[in-house]
Amino acid sequence: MIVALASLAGVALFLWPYLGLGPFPAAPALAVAGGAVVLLAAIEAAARRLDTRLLALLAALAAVDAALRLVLVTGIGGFSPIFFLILCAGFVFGPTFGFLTGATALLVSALATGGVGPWLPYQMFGAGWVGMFAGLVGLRWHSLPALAVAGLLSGFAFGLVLDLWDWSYLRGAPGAGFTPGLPPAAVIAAFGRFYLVTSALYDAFRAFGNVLMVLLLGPPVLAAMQRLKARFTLVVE
Amino acid sequence: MAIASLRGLSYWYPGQARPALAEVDLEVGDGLTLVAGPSGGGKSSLLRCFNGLVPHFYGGRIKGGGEVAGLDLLTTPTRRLARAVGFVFQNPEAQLVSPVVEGEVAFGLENLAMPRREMRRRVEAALSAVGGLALRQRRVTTLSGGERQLVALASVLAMEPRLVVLDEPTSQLDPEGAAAVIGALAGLPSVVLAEHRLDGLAALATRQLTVEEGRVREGISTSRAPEPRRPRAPGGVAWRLEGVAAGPAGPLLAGIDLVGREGEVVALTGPNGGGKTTLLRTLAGLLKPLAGRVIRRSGRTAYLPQDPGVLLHRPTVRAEVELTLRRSGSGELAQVVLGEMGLLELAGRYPRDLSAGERQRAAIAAVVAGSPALALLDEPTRGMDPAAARRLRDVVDRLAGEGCAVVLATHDRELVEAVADRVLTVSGGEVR
Repeated sequence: MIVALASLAGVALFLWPYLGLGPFPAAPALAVAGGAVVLLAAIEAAARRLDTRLLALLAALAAVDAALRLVLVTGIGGFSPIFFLILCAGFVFGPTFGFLTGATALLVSALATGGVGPWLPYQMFGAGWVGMFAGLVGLRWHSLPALAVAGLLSGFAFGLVLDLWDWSYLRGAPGAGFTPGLPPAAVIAAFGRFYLVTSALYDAFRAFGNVLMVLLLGPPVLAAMQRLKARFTLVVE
Repeated sequence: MAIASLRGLSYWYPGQARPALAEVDLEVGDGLTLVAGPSGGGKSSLLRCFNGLVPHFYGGRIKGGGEVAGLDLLTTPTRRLARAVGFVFQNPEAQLVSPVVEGEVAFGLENLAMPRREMRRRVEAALSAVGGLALRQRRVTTLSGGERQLVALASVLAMEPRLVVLDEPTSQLDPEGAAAVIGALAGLPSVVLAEHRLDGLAALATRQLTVEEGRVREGISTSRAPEPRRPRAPGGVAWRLEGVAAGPAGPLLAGIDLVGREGEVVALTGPNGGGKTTLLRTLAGLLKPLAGRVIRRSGRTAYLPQDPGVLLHRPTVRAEVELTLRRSGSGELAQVVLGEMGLLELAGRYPRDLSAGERQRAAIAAVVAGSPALALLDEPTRGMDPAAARRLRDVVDRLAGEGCAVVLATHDRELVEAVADRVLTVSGGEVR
């Protein structure tokens, strides 16, 4: 799957500082993230899996998510309404569409809210993976509780993964900071302490916020998306 | 030489077990092909095949195939088909995209990157063909429903398509507007047109087809039995307009003094753009009068807008009716209201998936449920077949019998003759 290849670029980006290669420069990072999204969309479009109608839907979802982020720029803790549509889109339309929705939603909303910064490429991959994960869950277990669980797990995972990025800048905090050159076990232990102290509670708001949104708003939104999906599917006998 | 042909074509909308079209074999030649048949019988589905909306836009399941202007319907993208086939939809609201009429008519040509001079010539020719040159600089939002229909037709004609397909193009036009549309069609090589109101069209048709339960057969049966009128006894004053001036942007109507009574059915007729909808909206309280007073008796006002799609937002037809009943605190049963409009079989369907005629019936059921004190219906028979129109007449009769004051805006002469106690002509800013 092409989306897995695009994700590899993201994995490389996140692991870069931990491979002893120093911090990854910001502008090329954005180019990597943007390039991965554009390339993925282009390949999907060329393969006729992403037609004009899905592309229009993708644009609409990204725009709505950007508007949601304008309404609630800083959420309560890590809670943000933007993950809801990303989860739903991935769940209904599959991992690739979910990844594209997450990544473009973050990109568009960053442009709309002035949130463009060195964190953006990492957020794009992070949110893209949330959509991709929801898509994988949807392929296997297609039920509302499954999506709620996916929201819960991805709420924590998103925070954890993004911490990998900013933690690499946290030097000289003994026991909880990143010190290049330590054995992997010590690095992981230090990161675990850092995560529990700084992020666990913050991420819990996101995770349980996701669950709440999926359970409360999920049914009508998923039904609407399923209806669209039915329209996008043609069987020729 | 056939411009379009369908071979053994069957089609199912997504999730539907019953085919919308069943084993259709059809060749369409030059001239005017008239398509009739009951609402929900498959007329629109058949028409949508010709520009590929069925199946490419709607999805679902398809068997068989066909060609239009030498293009295969299953493999040609709709954007290519759109150059050969012009389509005028049931509701022109869905078709218009530009703010100004001229831009609207030029829109398709701009997308073909046509030279400016040629574009100007075509826009002019298309507008004059539908008798709409005077609309050229108007804003689309200020057009009446009928005027929008003419603009939609002009924008299709500007593309100079090989085949023009029209889905109930005259259903909301006044007689002059309908004549303008039909006149514009006379000069075209190939036209397929679906319509419930056949007067004047049958004589022009080179071929007549009926689509029923997804099957196409030759010929159209026209039987019309006039029904006896029941006399009514209107009661006290139900609504009153005193020196009212109104309009969406500046006064379209001025100095209007009118009174309506309980149990009285008032019909508003008159040309497109004359102010019928404005009068209804003012009466409904949706449009603030620019001058004067609007007085309504207490109780719920049921308002059916010209485009019923804006009204329907629940997941099923039944839920639409139940919502109204709940809001009005009525003890009426949804089942009864649904049955009255012949909607029992459609009660569980998603309203936006229905055919235009079915959607119209659903919207009427949703607004008239729960004994309204005042019922304002804008073009209620739009898209309706004779059977549905008969049901509507029965509903209006019942409402009036219960003391509801009914006001309807319509071009449907049969409806006016069948139900109206009083006919008012809204034209040129006045009401007579």
